[in-house]
Amino acid sequence: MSFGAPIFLSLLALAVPIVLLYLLKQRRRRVEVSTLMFWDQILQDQPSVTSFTQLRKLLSLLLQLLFLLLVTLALARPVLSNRLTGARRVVLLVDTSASMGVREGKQTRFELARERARDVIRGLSMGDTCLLMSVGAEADLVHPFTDSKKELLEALDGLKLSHSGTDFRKAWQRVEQLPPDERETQVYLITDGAFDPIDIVPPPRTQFAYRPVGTRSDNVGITAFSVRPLPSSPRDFQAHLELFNDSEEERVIPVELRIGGRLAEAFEFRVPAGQAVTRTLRQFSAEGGEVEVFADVPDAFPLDNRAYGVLPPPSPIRVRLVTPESPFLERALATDDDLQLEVITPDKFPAATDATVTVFAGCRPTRTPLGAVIFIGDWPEDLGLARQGEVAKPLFTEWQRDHPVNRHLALQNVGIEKALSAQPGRDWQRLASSVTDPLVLLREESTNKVLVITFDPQGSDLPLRVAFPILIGNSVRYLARADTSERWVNPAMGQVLSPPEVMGYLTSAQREAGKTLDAVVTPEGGPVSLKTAPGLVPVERAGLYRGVSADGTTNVLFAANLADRRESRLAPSVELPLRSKTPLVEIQERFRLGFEPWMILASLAVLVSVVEWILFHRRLIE
Amino acid sequence: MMNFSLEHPGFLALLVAIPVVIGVLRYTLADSPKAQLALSAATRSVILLLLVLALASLLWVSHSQRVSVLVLGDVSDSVPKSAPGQLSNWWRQVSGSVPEHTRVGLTTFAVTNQELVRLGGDPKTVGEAPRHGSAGETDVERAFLTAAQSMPTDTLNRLLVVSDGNETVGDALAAARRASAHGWKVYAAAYTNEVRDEVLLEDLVVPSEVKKGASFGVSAIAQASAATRAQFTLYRDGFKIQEKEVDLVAGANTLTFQETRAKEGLVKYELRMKAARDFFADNNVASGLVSVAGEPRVLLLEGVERDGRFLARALEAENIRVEVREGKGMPGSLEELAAYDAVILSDVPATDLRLAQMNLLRSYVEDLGGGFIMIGGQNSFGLGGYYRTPVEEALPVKMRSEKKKDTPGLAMMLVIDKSGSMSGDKIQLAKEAAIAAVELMSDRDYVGVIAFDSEPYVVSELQPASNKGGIVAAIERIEEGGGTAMYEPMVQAHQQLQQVTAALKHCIVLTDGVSQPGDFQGITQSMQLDQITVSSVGIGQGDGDIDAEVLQNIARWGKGRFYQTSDPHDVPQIFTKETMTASKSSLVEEPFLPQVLRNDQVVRGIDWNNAPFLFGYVVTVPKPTAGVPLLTERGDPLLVSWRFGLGKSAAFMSDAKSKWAADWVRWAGYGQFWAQLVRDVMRTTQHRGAETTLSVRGGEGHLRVDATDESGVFRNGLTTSAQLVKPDLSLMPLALRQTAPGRYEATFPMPETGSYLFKIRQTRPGPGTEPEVVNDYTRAMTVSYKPEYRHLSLNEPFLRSLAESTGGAFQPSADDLFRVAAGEQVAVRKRLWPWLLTAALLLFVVDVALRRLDLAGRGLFRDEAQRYG
Repeated sequence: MSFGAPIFLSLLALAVPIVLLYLLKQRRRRVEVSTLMFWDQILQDQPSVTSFTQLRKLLSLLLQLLFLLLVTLALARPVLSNRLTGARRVVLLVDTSASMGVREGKQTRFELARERARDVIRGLSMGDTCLLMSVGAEADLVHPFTDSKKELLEALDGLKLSHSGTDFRKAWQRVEQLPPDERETQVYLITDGAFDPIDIVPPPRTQFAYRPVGTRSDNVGITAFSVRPLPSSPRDFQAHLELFNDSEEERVIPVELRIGGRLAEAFEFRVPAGQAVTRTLRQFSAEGGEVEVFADVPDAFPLDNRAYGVLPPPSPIRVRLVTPESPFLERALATDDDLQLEVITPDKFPAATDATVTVFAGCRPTRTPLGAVIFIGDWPEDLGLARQGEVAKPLFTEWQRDHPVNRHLALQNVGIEKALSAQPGRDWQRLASSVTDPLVLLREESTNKVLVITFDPQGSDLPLRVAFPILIGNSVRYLARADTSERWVNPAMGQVLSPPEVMGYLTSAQREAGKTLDAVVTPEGGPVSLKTAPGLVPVERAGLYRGVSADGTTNVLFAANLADRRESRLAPSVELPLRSKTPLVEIQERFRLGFEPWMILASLAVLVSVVEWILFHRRLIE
Repeated sequence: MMNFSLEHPGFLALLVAIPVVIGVLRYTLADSPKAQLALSAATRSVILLLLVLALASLLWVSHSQRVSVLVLGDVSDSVPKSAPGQLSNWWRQVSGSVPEHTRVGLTTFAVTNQELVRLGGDPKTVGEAPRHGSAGETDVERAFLTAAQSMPTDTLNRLLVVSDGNETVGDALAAARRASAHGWKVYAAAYTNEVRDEVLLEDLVVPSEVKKGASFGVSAIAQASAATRAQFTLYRDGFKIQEKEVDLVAGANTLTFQETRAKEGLVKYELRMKAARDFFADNNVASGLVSVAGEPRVLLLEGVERDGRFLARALEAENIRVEVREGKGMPGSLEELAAYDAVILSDVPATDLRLAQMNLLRSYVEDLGGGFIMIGGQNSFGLGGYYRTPVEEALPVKMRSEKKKDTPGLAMMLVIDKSGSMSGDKIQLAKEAAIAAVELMSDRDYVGVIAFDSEPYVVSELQPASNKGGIVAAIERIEEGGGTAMYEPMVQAHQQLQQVTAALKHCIVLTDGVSQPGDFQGITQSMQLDQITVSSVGIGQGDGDIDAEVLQNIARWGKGRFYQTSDPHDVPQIFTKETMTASKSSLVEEPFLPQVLRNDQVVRGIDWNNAPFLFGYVVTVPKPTAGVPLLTERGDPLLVSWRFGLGKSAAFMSDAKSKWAADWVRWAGYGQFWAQLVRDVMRTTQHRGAETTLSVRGGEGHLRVDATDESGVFRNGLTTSAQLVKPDLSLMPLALRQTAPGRYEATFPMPETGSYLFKIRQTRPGPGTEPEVVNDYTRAMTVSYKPEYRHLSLNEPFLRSLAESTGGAFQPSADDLFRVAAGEQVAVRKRLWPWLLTAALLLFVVDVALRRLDLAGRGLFRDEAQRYG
């Protein structure tokens, strides 16, 4: 045994004044009596009385010294060795993932988990320290190692249930990073085990305890949902929906799809027991905006019965088509809802109005205009693209499939009557070519972006194919730098978005118009200011996130969904969801000294003090 | 604002002692004045109150503006050489102006953290930093998370990250943002980039798929820290194809090579750079793979190259490109093999292939979906030594066949060198070879084994091969040691073979050294007179380490075969080939007409009624799940095929040249049959509008496939899988999950540099039981070098956003770090129990004094005389 604060042992010097006080001869008190007859008798018996008095006095002194000793030792904070006390380093991992929100009777799994965690904290004993970590999509250190049960309990009370899945691997990485310690490390997992078991290499002297929460209950959940505009027609979209039936019998589930709050489709989904079924829905939305799907089935886990998506709103691009006559091209541009088309004849060029992209078809200007330009079938001399006659009946043999201009294109066997044979320099990219000649070329400079199609589509069967409007739409969007990013993709649950990332959900037109956001309203309703540093938006609740502009207007930005089949499977894991090549050592609960030695000493001091007081006042001690 | 709270409020129950103390006064026998008694009781009660509050752990909750600063210094491989010095300067700056009650600490990080100065420790005692360039990659996120565990909870915590900002693993921004949720601030400082000339090649940009003959650009961006001259060399499949010298400017330089001559299949391009002023050599290479589509391409490996002309011509007439090579021309890499849609081995012995090549061939079929055909001949199947090889695993037939009753019995002696020079792999492989030979023999055969060093040792007497267990056990006991004397064991082998009656008698002699002299001609010729054939095997280069001439002569005199190999791994193939050849059990040389057993698509449409004779074949046994469309007249399989992994393989037991197929090569159905067979087994590539995106970050790869149909509508509900072949040829099956309309994704570990091949397959339910293949194609990705060498400049924007996203600052002064903003504070709980106990103790002395001193007598309390009686 050693002392944490041995300096306090000097307080034992207080024994000196106490002993001195006991050595003081107490002056007898004066008492008036009617006769001395009885007192004489007492005085005759004095020797025996004196010795009894001495004994009482000594006993009193000893009790006082005992009190002094107990309190002084308590102050000196005796420390017993870890081996003697079995002191531990406790790592408390509490699952805060979405499935912990499942109701189990009157309480949720999360509340049950907190109770289990409280038990562990209350069970901390002398020399123990405990670290509290929440485990969801991220592993968050809630409280570093401390011996303060109160702090741990308060931190535990502050834990929030998330709407994310469980990435236990990250939590385990944090456990692996713990510095070495001479004490044993005991890892408590308080979870419903709604994650696939992970492989671990347990550090030395580490023990594990699994405190499962929850019971098996039937559930139907939406385990995948996303909406995506069709490349050939951006206002048409497909919704990918997956429903999972975690029960032992087939279920027929009524499902509603709402676009902008209005019911767009209602249907029934037949899902066999224990299986997931997917369905793709095709819908149209001129305005874009929010899409919600709802599986109307009462169960213990309502969170996964709804999912959300956001269709990017139209972001019109001003396109000017300069052509003597190009009906196919005009139709392709006019039917694209994202384009504001202006058609002029070559003699009207240059026009007074401004356009983001200018398309020349079947004609060419004398000089290459600045900005974003598409030349179809011909191009000006000053473009820096040499031509060497014509090439007859070229076929698309190669196109850069990964380039945004070529996305979703199928150009096989397109019949082309003839094309101009271009001789591109090093600054041109060949986006598509025949065996010998380039057919689609791109040059990007700081002030000028030019795309050249070396043949006239009217002399080919390309306008009769779906690839034609896709190629034209892709080209215009690429040159206009318009939304080539996939804004329909929702951020992953658990991500923390910075203000520029949030602004990225505005359309290019909105950004060009100088629109900025002041705040983001989360599904919980709480606004997160983007103006106050650092302005981070955590994506931790399922639902729709809306942006609030400076003028007070609100528009939906993105959605977040749980969409995690493992979370929708409500049967808790029976075994510790960790795998190891070496057997994992389970924590053996045993008796531990719950209080520190100073507390025991101080408690004894209270007892001594009260006993001494009673004895004194009953004259059993002097 | 001050606040109090209790950690163990349960102890407040002990306050019941105070009413007890007061209650006792009612029954007191003490004669002190009441006022003194009351004061004493009050003192005692206060003492008890203090004790109980101490036990309940009274906490004083206040707010602190104390600061802890942990300096995290990046020591990863990418930081400048001067980084340790710069870090010291930062540390001096921070630790030199630490305000009172402020804690500072220093930790270095790369892949792991290393504490140099403990937080709150003596700033002058700095531990030893890791050596520059030895710490690995930059994992700022891990550094944060590890630091988080050691930061105190009662101070305002700041992290100062001193780095080049080139994060290669983890997501530090996310970690910093989470840290800021706990009130932490992250500050960032950039190392000053020393003038270090560096040029690096970023990824080679090549189209993933081109048509044969198409012109395409192979481009790369060379990032240069300063203007310099550099030489670039472009290699196609290891052959230099273009070279150019370029004056690079500081910054990004785009280089493009125009390429038109790519061969069909998977072509690897590698760009190497030599710059006049360059620091790291590791980042001077970039490579990429291009899938060049064209006519089906077949590699025909023929034992004698010119024998392949018949088959090559027939296939080319059917628009199948054929490249004929001799057996030893087998490609040595999977990338090279992947360029072919099918590989045909025709009469090529296993000894012409290395074990690694056989493994590649199996992987080519199983994992890349390639087609493979083995055509019969005297050096094919078991006769070629393929028994128990990876090639046998890939083929639909087993090489070992039960000997027919009318085939002659074989007596074979194995004479094996066990001298000291055979130690290690050699003796082990020789034993394995002998065991394989024994296993191949039928129960009616005889086999014996003699090992020799300076003397002969009969390992196993010549005995019926039915006792395989005993013979194998005896072989396994052979131990190496001693010299080399080959004559005497040959004599003993001769004697033993003379004692049995067998139609065929054969002796195999194996040595890796030069034998002591002996009458080898005499003994071999004596054996030949007794109808015993002798083959010899020499392990070594032949430049003095084996007596190749003697061994060659022994084989000539003994009318056997001579094998020389420098690789002992070839020995098992040589022994099995020898055994099969000597026993003649699997060779049938007689005219026969093929019999159609099953009307498979391979044999459909061919005029079998007018098919000419074949003149021989090798006997094999079909594997259980294989299909047998053609048989010989004896009922032996002639054509067998099956699906092996992702690919398909077939075995044709007769040949395709002018020996056994002398009449076939002139037959009209010859070309049609072979073209149908090749097309049946060869790799299928279907690619209907699938976009593939491959990316890698932090050792994790991401594969994304977007599938659309010809109308630009997403393809949904496809079963999507990929077989990933890693640089070490190990495999990883990937199941891609549909995550959005038309989108399928998978994530997987991708920690090493090298080429990763992805065989991607998308299917949907077909009209029958077989699923319909929608897309089936190969993609590749090359990680040319470690990400740590990818950066030659500071990533200041990263460091800036790291700091700004948490309210910290970029390039802060020491004052910035220690400055506390208005309202910035952290709750601090102080345990008061030591103060409470001390107060109780001091009060206790007063309590004793109150008891022991006659304060009434000293006039402090009114001493009322009591009257009794």
